[in-house]
Amino acid sequence: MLDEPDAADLAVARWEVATLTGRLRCVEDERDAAVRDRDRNREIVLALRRSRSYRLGRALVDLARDPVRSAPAMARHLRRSPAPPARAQAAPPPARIYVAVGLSRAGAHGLIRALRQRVLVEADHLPVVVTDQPSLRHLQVPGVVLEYLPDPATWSRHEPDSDWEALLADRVAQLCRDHRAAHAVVIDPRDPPTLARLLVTDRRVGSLASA
Amino acid sequence: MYDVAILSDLRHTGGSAAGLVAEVEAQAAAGLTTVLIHVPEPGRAHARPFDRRIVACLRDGRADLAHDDDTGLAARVLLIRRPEAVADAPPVRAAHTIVVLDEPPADFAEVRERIERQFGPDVVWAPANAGVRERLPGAPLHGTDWHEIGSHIARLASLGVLTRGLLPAPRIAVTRPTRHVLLIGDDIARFRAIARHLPGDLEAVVVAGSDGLPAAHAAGLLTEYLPAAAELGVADDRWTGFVRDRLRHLIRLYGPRAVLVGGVPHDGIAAAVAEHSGPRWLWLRPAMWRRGTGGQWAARGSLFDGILEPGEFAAAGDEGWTTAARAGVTTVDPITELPAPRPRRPSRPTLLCRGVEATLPGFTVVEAGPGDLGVVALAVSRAGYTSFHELLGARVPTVFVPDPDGADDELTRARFAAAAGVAICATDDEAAAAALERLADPAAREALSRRCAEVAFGNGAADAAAWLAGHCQRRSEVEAGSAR
Repeated sequence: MLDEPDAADLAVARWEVATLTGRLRCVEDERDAAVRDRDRNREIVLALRRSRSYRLGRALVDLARDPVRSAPAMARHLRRSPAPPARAQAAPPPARIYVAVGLSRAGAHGLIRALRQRVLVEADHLPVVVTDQPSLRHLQVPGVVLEYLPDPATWSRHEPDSDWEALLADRVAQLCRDHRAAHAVVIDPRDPPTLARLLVTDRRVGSLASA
Repeated sequence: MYDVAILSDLRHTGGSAAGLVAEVEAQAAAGLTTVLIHVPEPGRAHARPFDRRIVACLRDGRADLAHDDDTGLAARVLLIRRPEAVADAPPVRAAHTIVVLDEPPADFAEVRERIERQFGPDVVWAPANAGVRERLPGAPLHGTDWHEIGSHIARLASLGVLTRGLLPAPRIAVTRPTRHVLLIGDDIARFRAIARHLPGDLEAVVVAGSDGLPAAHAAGLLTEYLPAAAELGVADDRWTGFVRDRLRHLIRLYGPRAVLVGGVPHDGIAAAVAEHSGPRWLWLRPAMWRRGTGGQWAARGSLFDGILEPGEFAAAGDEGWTTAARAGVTTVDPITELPAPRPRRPSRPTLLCRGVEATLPGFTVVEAGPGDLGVVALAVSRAGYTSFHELLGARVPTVFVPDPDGADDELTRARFAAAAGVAICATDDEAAAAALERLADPAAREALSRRCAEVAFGNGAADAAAWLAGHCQRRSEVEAGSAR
């Protein structure tokens, strides 16, 4: 679909900007949610401090601080062995969005297989591949999540008044939320990465357009 | 270069237009590009409009219309229909030129001389059927009748015009619809049938799983993906939230007037309904549940502004829970993608297998979509909703082998059809093989086909689309009322 090198470069650059926009939108949403959480917790703390039960508890703490009357109880408390720390549950690896639009079916298949190999090498993230290939059944491999996005040509036919890049930015933001992704990457359809390059890219920022 | 160019007087109505439209639709569904070349037949009123089905093809982008001054047309295959009408056709470069003779021309030699003068001596003359061939003794006709080559796509494939699978998106509406409806689920055959009848300013967006998405996309519908819990590798409770969030995103993106839910309204759907009161929520509720199953979904009906139940030929045998929950439910005839009219002209022994593997000596196993069923001599199939109603509706003599693990009560469907004399029910491979052997006899097939015609049912797709459009209109009226 990208015959003219200049046009192709421009298209990939636009996709990278849109992907970055989407990722930033998600980060902003996360920041706003964190601020809302902080404010809500602050209100809860203030309400707690104003409550009768808090004031009563506080008085009991002050009382406990009286060394003469509280020493035997405190000593008993200190002699108790500390409770074993709760076993931390292994957190699932973070997701990473790969925007893989404009690839042929064979190209998309090759990329997804390479990503499967990549997470077999090191399961440090969950790849979420955004493809415009509708035959998802044929692309599915274990360990790689597939998402679908209408391709630019289809979108412009159905929604001629709406930019596909705006759709991409909106979708990347949504997918970052849905999959709790920490990174979003655009794959150049002219040169999808092999396993070797996927492994190299993790150590050398810039081979893939990372947002 | 187009894949296929079709040259004809596009103002003709009736069977020839229906055949042409069916071919255009099959080509579009297969990702092939089509250009229609209109050549007015001398003597017909100039102001007469094109057949409305052909207009729909052009409006929906399933075919382009050649400019009458176009001199650079190129196609891999040129099909000429009604060659007697061709007096002054524009030049077309084509690797194959085929003249399809639906009727024998009054003066074949004159027509041949004129056509070959315009398109060269390598034109292939293909009679539509044996009847036309018999009426043209001595004419240099192709060895095989056009309708004997199997499906239209198979004919094109035999000429080297292979389908592109699902890679190129079919071209669809060029005019911008102003309103959307979301169709959620994997009932793609019913969604396609309904979407085809929606008003021009109402566009369907199909939200499907990985099973249904390719078919919806191939039909030219705008599609979105809703991954299943297993595909995401998450537990059901997290998937519920995922579905709710995804539908929130899609509702914000498309602003649909209505959301039609096919299949079952699971917890994610229910959560989305609770969150969005804007669109009208509608349920395309299947009938024919197996006895004792699915009753837990009955209470979910109250979530919806409307429920539509696609008709069932075997409704009288239905023992599922929906039979006792039809108050306020709209019912229509069985919803299929069958064309109308549905001519039946099997000319060679072909066996269609849907969901069942079978062979029969002397019969060629073929594949056929709803538009190609008229040429299928015999079928063996599961008794799922779509296959059951398409095969009976197209009067194809069929052996139904119900799937005991099917989503709905296939056994009752197949038994009902057998009791009605329209098909044969076989519950195992041995019985199916025996039934197929019986139906190798043309007289036995003809009896089933005739019985199908006696108890023919209509197509509820247009009524379903009207019902859906009505709900969209109702929402507009509600909005207008609240604005006042």
